[in-house]
Amino acid sequence: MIITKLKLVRKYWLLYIFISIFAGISVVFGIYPMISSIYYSFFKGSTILTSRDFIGLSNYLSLIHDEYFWKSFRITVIFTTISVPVNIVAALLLSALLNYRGIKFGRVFFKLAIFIPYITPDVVGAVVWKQVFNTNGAMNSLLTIIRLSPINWLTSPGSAIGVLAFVELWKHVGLYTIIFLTNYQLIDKTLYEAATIDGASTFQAYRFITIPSLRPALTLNGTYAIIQFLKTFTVARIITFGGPNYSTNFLSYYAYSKYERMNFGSATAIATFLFFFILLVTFAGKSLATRRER
Amino acid sequence: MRKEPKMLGIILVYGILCIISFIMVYPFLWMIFSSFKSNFDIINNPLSILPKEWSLDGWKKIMILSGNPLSHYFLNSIIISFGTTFVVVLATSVGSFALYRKKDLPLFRLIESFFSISLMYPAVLLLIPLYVLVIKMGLYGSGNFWGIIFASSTGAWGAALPFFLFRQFFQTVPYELIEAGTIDGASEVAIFFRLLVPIMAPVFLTSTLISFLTSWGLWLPVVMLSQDMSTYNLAAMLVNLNSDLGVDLSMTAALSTVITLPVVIVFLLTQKKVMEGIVAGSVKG
Repeated sequence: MIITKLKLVRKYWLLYIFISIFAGISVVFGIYPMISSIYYSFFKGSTILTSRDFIGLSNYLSLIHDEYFWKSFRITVIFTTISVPVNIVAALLLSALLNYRGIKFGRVFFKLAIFIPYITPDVVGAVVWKQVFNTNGAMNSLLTIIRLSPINWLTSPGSAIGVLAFVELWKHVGLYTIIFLTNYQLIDKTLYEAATIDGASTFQAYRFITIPSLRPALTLNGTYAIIQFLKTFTVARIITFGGPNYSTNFLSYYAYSKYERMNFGSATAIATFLFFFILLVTFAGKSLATRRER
Repeated sequence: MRKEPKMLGIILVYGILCIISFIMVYPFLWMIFSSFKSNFDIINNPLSILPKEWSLDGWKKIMILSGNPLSHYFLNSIIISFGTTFVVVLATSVGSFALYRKKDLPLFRLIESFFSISLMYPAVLLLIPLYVLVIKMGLYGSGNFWGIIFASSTGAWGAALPFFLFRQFFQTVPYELIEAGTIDGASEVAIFFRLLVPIMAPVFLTSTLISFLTSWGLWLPVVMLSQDMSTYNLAAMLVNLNSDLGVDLSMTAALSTVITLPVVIVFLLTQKKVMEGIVAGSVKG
């Protein structure tokens, strides 16, 4: 058994050279730091670089008693639960509009405008929207002009998380939209003609032809969106720094702020928790989706 | 035949799309025109897009940032994004070729599943152990880009889409093509370079473009794995500028424009390829 394996390795040694760099980035810079992150979570905070002070599950136990951790977990889940459907529905509507037969010119322009935030560096979008929603920024002077009272967008908890949800929508909806759009264009057009002959309304055609045909894209976009929103970080780091009053202190930002205070043990415990939570949600979502498809 | 769309519907759809497109491109208009405004003008006329008086203050101020000329950070952006793109495209192209040729070789499946798992880990949180690792490997230090480049080349950041694109490409290569090569007794190197590389130009181009676009604006690995500003790129500098109390708005706008223009220009020139590549890579991922 081992000898046949060794023979294979000798015969195809060149392929091992081919895969070596890929293996390097997957193992040395991928799986190894992941495992060491989990490993660090069993050690005392700031001692990782110099000495190792094993404290077992203490970092996890102190998380259980940390009210900020639970608040952080709760708002991460709430933010994801609201943002995922909003993004998916917005992308569905946008792709339906872009696919509308009445549009004879300008389709490429609209598509580019909707997609371009996705390839724009995330820090740029965050920095600019932060200024737009500033107390004396453009959004408030727009409100003043239409005779509404200005809002402290970034300094009151409820609106701050709303602004972050909006900025994340602006950034990502283009990706979900073009994935739907690509799927739209794969739908067999004769299905619609048959439906019209049978006297189906536009809504019925959408409900019974379009939505079922888009189901694979829905599963894909849904999974992506869940993972992406659970990991939300940049907007919290740039726009709100987790505030006001910890209302945007998402798990990944909370872990990061622990890291900044050199509290590596606590930071990696939060990171490990978030990773397993993402794994759990993704697998639950995938098995739900496959059960429905059957 | 289906009913032709009504005039009212057409106007409505155009109206909605115009409003949405305006919101989507508004940040670009804001940064470009605010960079030509004075701070006073930005604060006092937040709604007007065009400057009341054109001013070059913001641009003059970003020419020197924290004691270094702007070109220093621009050059670092190029070093980091080109370096990352090179590592990513090299690793994923020959790596997925090896996986395509003999998936059952010892360790191959394991390496692939390690890659897939590392995609799930939040990139932000991978940086804590990466920081320790980079120090241990001696890749941390003033002027040392290697730690930043390798960290940015992992599945957690740039390598996912290019890997899926190459994997998808190899799935379309007809088996007979490779068979012909093995009958000739050609080595794996010859098969790759003589038979595959000539037909790989499109997928190389798409992967390179996507990899460049995603690595140009990276800031977190740069901030966390840099010892000092000798390795800061433009995006890291923008984060730095934004962290100070009392943000200078015209400077922020000018620096945002400098960061954004290269990616927007590259994207607009290659938009069809990039969008198709991102969709294909996402769907097959």
